[in-house]
Amino acid sequence: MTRLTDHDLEQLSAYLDGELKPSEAAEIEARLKAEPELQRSLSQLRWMSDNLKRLPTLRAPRSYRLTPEMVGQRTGSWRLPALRLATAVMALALVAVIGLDFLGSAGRMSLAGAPQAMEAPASVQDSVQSEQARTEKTEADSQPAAGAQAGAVEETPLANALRAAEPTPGADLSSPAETPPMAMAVPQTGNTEAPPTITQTPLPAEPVESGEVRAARDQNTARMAILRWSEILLGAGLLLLFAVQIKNRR
Amino acid sequence: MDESGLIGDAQRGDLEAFNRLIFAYKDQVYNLAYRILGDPLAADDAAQEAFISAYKGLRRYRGGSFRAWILRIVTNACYDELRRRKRRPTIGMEDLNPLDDPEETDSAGVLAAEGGDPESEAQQAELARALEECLGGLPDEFRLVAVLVDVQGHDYREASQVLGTPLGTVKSRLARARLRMRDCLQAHRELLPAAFRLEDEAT
Repeated sequence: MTRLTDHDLEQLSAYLDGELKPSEAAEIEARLKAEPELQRSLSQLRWMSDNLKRLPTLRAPRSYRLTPEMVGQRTGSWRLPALRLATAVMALALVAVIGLDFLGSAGRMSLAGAPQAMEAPASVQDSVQSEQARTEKTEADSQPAAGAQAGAVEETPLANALRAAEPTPGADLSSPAETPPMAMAVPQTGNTEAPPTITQTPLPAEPVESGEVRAARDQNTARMAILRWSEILLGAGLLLLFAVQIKNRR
Repeated sequence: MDESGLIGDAQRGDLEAFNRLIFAYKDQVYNLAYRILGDPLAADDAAQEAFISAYKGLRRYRGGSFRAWILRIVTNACYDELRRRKRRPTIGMEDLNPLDDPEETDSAGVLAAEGGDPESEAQQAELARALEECLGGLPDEFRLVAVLVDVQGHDYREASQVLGTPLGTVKSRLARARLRMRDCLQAHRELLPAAFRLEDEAT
């Protein structure tokens, strides 16, 4: 019995599948007529191939249906960008508010010389009314705009009374009047026109500023409150948005 | 089914169109994975992974046989699984074939077997198990080409597209796979036709 070569089997296998060129197929057909071994091999291959095609076909156990989540698509595609935008806007707003707050604080700190000056006489009053205290007070008084505004919050009736009671040697334009502390609370615009002959005249700007000081203090307090509440609300909102995003990401 | 229309829609992000393609090919994809891996659970995973990969890589599809393209993706997923198994050899192919067990054949969800031997269904089932066993015993590259051409009926061209190999390689691998199958089936002589028995008598 003649054994078939690998090439013979390869050609026979391809012939079975109709994958040979016409010339090759004709060659195999000629040999098949003459070689029973080749015929039997072809029968075996055909039988196997036919039976392999009859092997049971399995039903897919599930649909394999894809969902947007499985392929990385977001169902609410508008939600995430909207959340991100809101977070960014809120973060920027928070930074801006904190910046305003910081600038306001820095402004108060830069003008803090005045409050210190205003407080100095009060502390000195307990001991000795020193020359230094008078000098400082004079310096503070000589800056009416800054001193009045910056010192507005810190100014106390006691300090005003002290200042009023204290003669200011350096101040040659006017002399502190013996004004009781109550007088500081009442605007005395007419005092600025007091004749120079009167030695004890209240500071020209001081009584006028007192009302402005209060208004400025109120305004400042309101502004600070608004800033603080804005910071709190924006911070809470940011935390909420972060929580929602983390939850969305699971 | 307007396949090219569905493919176009899916490429533009229409997941529903792709799901219709999945519906059309799910059995072929699952069966190929099952024949390569011999394990229904692993085949199920490979099929799902293949469909996800196919959708994500749909822009790379440049026409031609969509079936060959998607079968190639599942074939690659199966190769990955086979490589993983070789790194952690715990289960043999023979242990994984549920069709070896008649009770499990029902639970595997067998679609209607084509034709069938009118003489005896039991004998046909036994023959099927013998063929499954021999098929499962083939080296991976031979088994794959035998599954594509002999079991699933693809032509050489499509098989070469699925495998990413030249036509000549398909031809030679298939011939070797068939030769090995024939030798393997000698262990089940009682199931073989006269053509096989004659060879025994001759040798």
